[in-house]
This record gives sequence, structure tokens and C-alpha cells, in this order.
Amino acid sequence: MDDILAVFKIRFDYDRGPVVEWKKQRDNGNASSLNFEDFAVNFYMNFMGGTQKPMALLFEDFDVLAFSKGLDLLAVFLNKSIKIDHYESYSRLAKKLIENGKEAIKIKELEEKIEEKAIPIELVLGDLGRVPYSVLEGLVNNSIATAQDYCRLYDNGTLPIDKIRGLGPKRTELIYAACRRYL
Amino acid sequence: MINLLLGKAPQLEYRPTIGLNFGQKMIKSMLGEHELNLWDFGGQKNFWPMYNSYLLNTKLCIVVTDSTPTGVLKTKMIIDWLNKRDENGGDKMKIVALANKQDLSGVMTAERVANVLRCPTYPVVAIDPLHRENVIEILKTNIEQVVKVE
Repeated sequence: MDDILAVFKIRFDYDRGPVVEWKKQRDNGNASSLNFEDFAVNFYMNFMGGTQKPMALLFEDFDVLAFSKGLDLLAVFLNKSIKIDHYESYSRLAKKLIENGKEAIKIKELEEKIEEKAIPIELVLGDLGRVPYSVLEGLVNNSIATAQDYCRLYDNGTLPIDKIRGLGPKRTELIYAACRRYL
Repeated sequence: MINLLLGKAPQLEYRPTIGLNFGQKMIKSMLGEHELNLWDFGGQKNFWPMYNSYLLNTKLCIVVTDSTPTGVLKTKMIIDWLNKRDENGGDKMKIVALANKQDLSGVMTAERVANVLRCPTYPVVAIDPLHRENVIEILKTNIEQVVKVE
């Protein structure tokens, strides 16, 4: 997951056309100077238009994987390190991000799962690319919140999460979100 | 609409045009034979900037509108945008509207749609193959007018 530069969920609005519903973008990386949002309509047309829909587009500095459901599209921007055998992993992640939706978990429910004395460690929220895949899996499996929920809460400032950490043995690790108010 | 013109089976389930579709058709009019390049654009606002590239040297622009009041008002915004583009040095082109879905109850008549859009407007039902000849006639008439003006 270190390869992820950005994730964009693009939906089709019947008045406006393709619009970015939510996004998560790394601050660093080769493609950081690109504003992916400006290309949202183009990417949407590339992946959703016509009769034969590509799975990926490869550019000089980055690659884009696309996963669709109905008229929704999840575009995953990757460093130039994509390997075909990783596709299934990305596909599973994308499926969860698309299907769980923004309202998969209520804010209240999430807050109840937050440990008040969470110790901040180096894993910085907002940097999806640095969250190990196993952690993302854990997020979903433990029904705490999907990565999409974290992105949404972080983006809209409703729950300004600064840091998360993982505890416990692998597969049972829990993610603790430490809000500013709890620090 | 392209399906109708090309004699293909109509698409009964609504699927928005993602960006654009393309079709070609030969039409014979009194002035001769015309090869039409048919560009079908999505009407959503985020697609509008794309129109500029494809409307270069376009002589006739046919705007297909839902005949519901909401649909007509949205289409009015597109036509205003196209007219503004003309005023700003774009290619002069004739704009004609097709008031679609005339088979549905409660929709505006083509005359009322024309009053709002301020351009020649014809009633159509794009999913009805019987309207195919009608649409082709509309095309012929307007092509002849455009060619004569030139």
C-alpha cells in the first residue's frame, strides 16, 4: 500500500456529470504536483466511456487503477510499481471502499470505539499510502471503520483524527483513532 | 438518438452519455448526398468545456431535451452557453432542439419548449422507431437550410 498516491471516488451526478465524492491524496510522491481532481472528468470518461473499459491506465510517472460499481468509479493512483499480481489486493480494497459507503459507520459509533489515552505513534493519518494493508483489513474486519470512513472524517473535519496506531497481535490488532480533543 | 438515426434497437433503460458517443450516417437531400458525423455529447455541466474541441466547424447543433419543465430549463442553460460561445468568436452554427419524450403525460409541448429555448423545436419520441423517419426529415430540412445559407 506504500504505492498508493491517491484514491478518488468519482460519482456521476445527473446535473453536473462526474464529480469527486471524496479523495485521499498523499502529500509526497512523484505525482504530487498533479492535481488529480482537475482530471477527474477525463479519468471518468477514460474508464467509463465506450464499450470496452480499461482496468488501468499507465502514465510516465504514475499508474491509475479503476474499479467501478454502477456509475461510481474508484480511481487508485499508484507509483510506477504496479504488478499484476497485486491487482486482486487492490480490487478487494476498492470493493470495500466503494461498497461500504460513507455512512457505513456512524460517527457516534466510531467515537465509542476510540480509546481516550491512545498513544500517538509515527503512523500519520491522512497518509493512506503508509497504512499497511493488514491494518486496512483489520479496520474492515473489526467493523471499526473503513479506510473510507477515516478519509471522510478527516477530510470534512468532523473528526479531525491526527494519528492512529495498531496494538496487539497481527489479525487482532485494533486501530485507535486519537482525536485532537482526546490528546 | 444516434441509435434511432442508425436504425439500431432503442435503449429503453436510461443510461447517461458518458462524455460522448459517435455515429456516421449518409443522408440524401434535395441538394445532394451528405455524410453526417454525429457527435452525441453528455449534457452534464462538467462535459461542457469538452464541447469546444468537438464543435469546431460544426454547422448544425441539435440539442435533445427532456420535455419536462426541469429538463427544458437545464437545456436552456446549455443553449445559452452555446450562444455565448458563438458571440465570443466561436463558429456560427444553427441550433435546433428536439423535444423528446413527448409520449409521456404532463410534458411540455414542442411549441412551449420552443418558447423557452428560443430556437426551432420539434417533437420526438427517441425510443419509438416510428419517429426515425421524422427525425431524418428534420435533419434533411435543417441541413438544406444550413447549406443554402453557406
